[in-house]
Amino acid sequence: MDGGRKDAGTRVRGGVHSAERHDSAHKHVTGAADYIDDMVEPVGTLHAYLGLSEAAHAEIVSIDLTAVRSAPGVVDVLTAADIPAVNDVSPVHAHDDPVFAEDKVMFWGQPVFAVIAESRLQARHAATLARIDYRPLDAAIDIDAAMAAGGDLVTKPLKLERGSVDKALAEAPNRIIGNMEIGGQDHFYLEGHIAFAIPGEDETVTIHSSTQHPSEAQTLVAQVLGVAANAISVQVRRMGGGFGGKESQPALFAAVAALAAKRLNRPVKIRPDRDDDMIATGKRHDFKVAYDVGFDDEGRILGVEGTYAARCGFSADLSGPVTDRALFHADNAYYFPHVRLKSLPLKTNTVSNTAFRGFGGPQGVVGAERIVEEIAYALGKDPLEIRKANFYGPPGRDVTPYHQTVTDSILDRLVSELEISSDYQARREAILDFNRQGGVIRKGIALTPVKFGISFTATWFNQAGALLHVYKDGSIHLNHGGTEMGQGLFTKVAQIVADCFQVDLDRIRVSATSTEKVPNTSATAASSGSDLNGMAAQNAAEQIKQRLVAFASEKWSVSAEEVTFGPGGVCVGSKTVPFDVLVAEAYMARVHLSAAGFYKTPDIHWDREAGKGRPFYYFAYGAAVSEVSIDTLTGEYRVERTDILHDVGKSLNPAIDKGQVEGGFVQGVGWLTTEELWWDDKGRLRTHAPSTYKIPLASDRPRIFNVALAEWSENKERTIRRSKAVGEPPLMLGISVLEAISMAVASVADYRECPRLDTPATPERVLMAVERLRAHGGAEA
Amino acid sequence: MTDIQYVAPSTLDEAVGAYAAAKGAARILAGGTDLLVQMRAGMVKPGLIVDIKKVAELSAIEKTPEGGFRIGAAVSGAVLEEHPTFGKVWPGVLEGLNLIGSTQVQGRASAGGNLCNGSPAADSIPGLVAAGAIATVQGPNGRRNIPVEQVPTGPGKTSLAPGEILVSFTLPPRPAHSSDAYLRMIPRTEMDIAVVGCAVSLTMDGDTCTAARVSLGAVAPTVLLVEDAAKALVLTKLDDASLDKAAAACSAACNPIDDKRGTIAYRTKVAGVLLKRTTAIAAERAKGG
Amino acid sequence: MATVSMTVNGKSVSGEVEPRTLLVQFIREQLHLTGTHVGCDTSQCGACVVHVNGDSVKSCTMLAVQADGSDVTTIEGLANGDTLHPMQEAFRDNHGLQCGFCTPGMVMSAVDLLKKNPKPSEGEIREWLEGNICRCTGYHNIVKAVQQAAQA
Repeated sequence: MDGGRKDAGTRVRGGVHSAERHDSAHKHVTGAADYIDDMVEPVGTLHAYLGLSEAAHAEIVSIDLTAVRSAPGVVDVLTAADIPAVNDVSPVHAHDDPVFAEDKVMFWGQPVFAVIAESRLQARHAATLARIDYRPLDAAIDIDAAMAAGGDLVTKPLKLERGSVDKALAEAPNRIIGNMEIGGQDHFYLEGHIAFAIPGEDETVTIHSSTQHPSEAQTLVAQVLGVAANAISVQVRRMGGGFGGKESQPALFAAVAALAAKRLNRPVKIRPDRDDDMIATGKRHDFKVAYDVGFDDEGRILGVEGTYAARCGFSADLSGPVTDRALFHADNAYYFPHVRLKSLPLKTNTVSNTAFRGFGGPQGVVGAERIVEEIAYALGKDPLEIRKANFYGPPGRDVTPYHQTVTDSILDRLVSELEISSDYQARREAILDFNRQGGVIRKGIALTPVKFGISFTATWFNQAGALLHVYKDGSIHLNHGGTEMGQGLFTKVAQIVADCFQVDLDRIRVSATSTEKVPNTSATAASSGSDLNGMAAQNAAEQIKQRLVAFASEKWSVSAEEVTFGPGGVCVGSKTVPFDVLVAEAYMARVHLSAAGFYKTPDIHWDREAGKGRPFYYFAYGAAVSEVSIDTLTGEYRVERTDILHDVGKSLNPAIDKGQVEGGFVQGVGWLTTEELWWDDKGRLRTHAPSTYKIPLASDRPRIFNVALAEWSENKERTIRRSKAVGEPPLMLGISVLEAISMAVASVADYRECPRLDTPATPERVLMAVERLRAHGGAEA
Repeated sequence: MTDIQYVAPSTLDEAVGAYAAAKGAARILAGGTDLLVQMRAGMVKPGLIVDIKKVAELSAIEKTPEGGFRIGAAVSGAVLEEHPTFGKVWPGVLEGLNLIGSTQVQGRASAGGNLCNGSPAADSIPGLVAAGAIATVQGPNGRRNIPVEQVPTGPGKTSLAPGEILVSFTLPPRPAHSSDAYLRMIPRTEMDIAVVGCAVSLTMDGDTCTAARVSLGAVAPTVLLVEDAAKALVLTKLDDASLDKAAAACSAACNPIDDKRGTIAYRTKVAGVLLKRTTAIAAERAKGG
Repeated sequence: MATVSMTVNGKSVSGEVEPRTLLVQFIREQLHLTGTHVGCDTSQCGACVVHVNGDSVKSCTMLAVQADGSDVTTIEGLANGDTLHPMQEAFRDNHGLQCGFCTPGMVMSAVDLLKKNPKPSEGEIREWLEGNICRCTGYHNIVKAVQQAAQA
């Protein structure tokens, strides 16, 4: 538990590297933590609800909102015609993401209008009364249909190339060409989208938005309303989960609430029901990967060519950087001597897909692991052997497809430690024995690694700000550009500040993220929250600290080196001055006790046209071993055991980091196994509630679950306290479950055929794979 | 928005009176697990909600003079679970009822609500069909009894006449060495309705099966009584050949809708597998009893 | 409109509600007890679990009028003054939460489990909690928290 709490005096309570509990933990268990829907509503608050399209692709012939307007409690109805300035909330300013559809609808569930009423229920019911006539157009719902229709793209594709791949493939002693389908994923944050706008004087409006990206919401709302950014204040204290789903998507809700609030000069709240949230907002991209791999008889990869086609939906949204990141991770941890990778961000008549934990990277990694499997089954080897043979290594085998040199790989050590601690080899032998008996239940085990690049690939996003006030009573107010969505960012950054001043954590209060306090922030995304904001907060703390040191050294006539901040107070020469006494004295001496901190990640650069650069400051690593049982007559499976060893550098907070690893793993397993998104032929999403869309439950957790951090790891780069980012990488540890299921399936054909199990590997898919392998003449061992 | 009235009568006659008088505008509220969701989504807009939880007969569990059980239509799985003998006699019926939703929903969801909702995938129904349960309904014209499998007529539809309320289920007395079981296949362990559900009720004489009823859920527009499967089991020792034949009868009976819960091919395959497994469990229990 | 009266967290309350008003709406909007959350609107996620006459109930599967005369406990009524209920303490100390949105329902559900089954096995805990969805933690620390509370 609280590592620093027991030894007061020698360490501060809640400094860095201690397992401090989440700063809102007490409020969460007592129900006292306010989410936006819990805020006290000012008198006169109105409620907005969206009217969604009922066609996947169609011209709007007519819209009759008479019944909506005359429904009880309705105050106003908004359509595209009511938008004062620009009808667009595209996060990349592609002008393809209207707030309300104008003459065409581009997917089933696209907002066409909003109704504003006295109560949420009234607004919700009124929204069902619209009569809209559509003239249907051809709709491309999935990747195949989009390709067949000519392959329109929502954004410019990327190509990464190194070496002479055509020659390498032609000359390779072994070559396999294949395809893989990788499903999408709904975020299912427990708190759905919500925005609450309160009008102010002149053009101003304050918006409480459940957003990972307040500055973007600010920019886009200003654009919709046609006002300057300084009129818009966006605030968020906490989200009930985000996972990327609240990076670009909240802008729509913020814009509708703000537009209505300014028009009616009353506070307006908008919260879609879960079903509408799932239908109308973007998800993880599903992919189709076409791969062509050449390899030698030892299983070393000689060349890889791959095309990564993604269902992007009707607009660009973040699909450009998402599909880019899929290519950046198409190698996972493996050296491709010759390589050519292409992305195909396809336009479809479905909701525009968006960021989701890993941001395309996981799809790339899953593709790499399929390639490993193909090689292993072709050569009759343990896939782990193939993995080890292809890890990035010494010079000559250390350059990625995007020409960045991998200098920090710790996978050799990490994987061999995990292999031993999980008793992988003996358990694999036992499983092979078990499967040889030929029963209905088969088992599988797999050890899969992850290497994940840390930094926004849009280099300019790698900056952050913080605002720190020390009040004259010695209490500290911290604010930074990062947002709290449960990941513990506020706790970690406060720990950094506590450590800088050597004060106890409870002296620091972190306030809601606000565009008024720290401007021009980046999304809390790309796992970068504590890397960037922790550094910015540290920078602010160091500024104030320097001023305090200068003041103390002058007042007590000692050198600056003789002023040090310790857990018992500030040592000034031979005397110790309590922190709050020093602060009070400094105030009287007119020392500036507030600072704005700033940080930008050094040494990174990326030339997208050339496909070359150093997009990532460093890599985070991890590995997992999972063992599963499958029922070969029904396709049902269960995870018997998972062992994880994950690299977070020198952890800022081991308890919070382990929580991220456990949660990320389970979310990754859900993505690859039970979470299936299903659109019907009309383009309607039919899995839009937890009854049909299955996220993991308590019973789905592995029966045995051992999670450890690689405590010996330190970031080679000078990140905040040598820690590493932790948000996204653990999601990909879930791939070990997919690969273990695949091995269990392969057992029915004596491991001679790669099962080519696509994802999500639902029981149905598993059963069909078992039957396919059996039909291919998989005579039982 | 229309105004909704709410009544919670304490007698069946009052409930039937209020329900029938509303002429189709009323909805019965038992557990509320389906109705309240449908109301929020605007799928149903009742003018009257008749809460039947206070009607004693609908919440009663009693022995019939013949030695069977009569369970009220509003009895929840959680209540039935606590009954001292019901679960020993009808473990399969209880298994199905306990699978409706999660614990907090189980506390409220009832077999009656499950049946009246008309879902072909209702977990509590195959067990009742295999048990040979009779549903008692009461309407403005009095009471009548119908076999449970004749209540649903299609997804969301039942054979109940306007104004009729489901009152109770009567399960027949059990000969010695009888038992039942319910298994279902869903992509995950809990919290959903079945992709395929299979209930088997058996009587054994030594190793020989002397009576059987087989029911499948979620494989056709209504829950099915699969008589061919039962025939394949009766007067056999439940040997592999008989089980294969019964499984084939189950697969042949499948007429599923190909929806997001599982494709036709998958349901058809799994129906046969489930039949064999459910039969094995029921037989084991019957021999033990 | 109908008048409902009930005891909530030990206090008698009453209010005017429409018959369609869900218990969760009454609790959140009229009593301003916002610790009970709405996660899925369809009786599945468990974020809205409260106790009605001592049993855990998803408060979106119940009308406020049905709770007339009942004794209701919400997450706000679980602690004894400043002293947390052992289950609250266990969730807090075992990091059994991240975003916290599912936490109140999860805690209320777990409290009911221990009342019915004071020494549950790990399997029983997992099974009981199937009606409560958490998207952040992977349930690992949640199960640990319930185990710790069972020993308290």
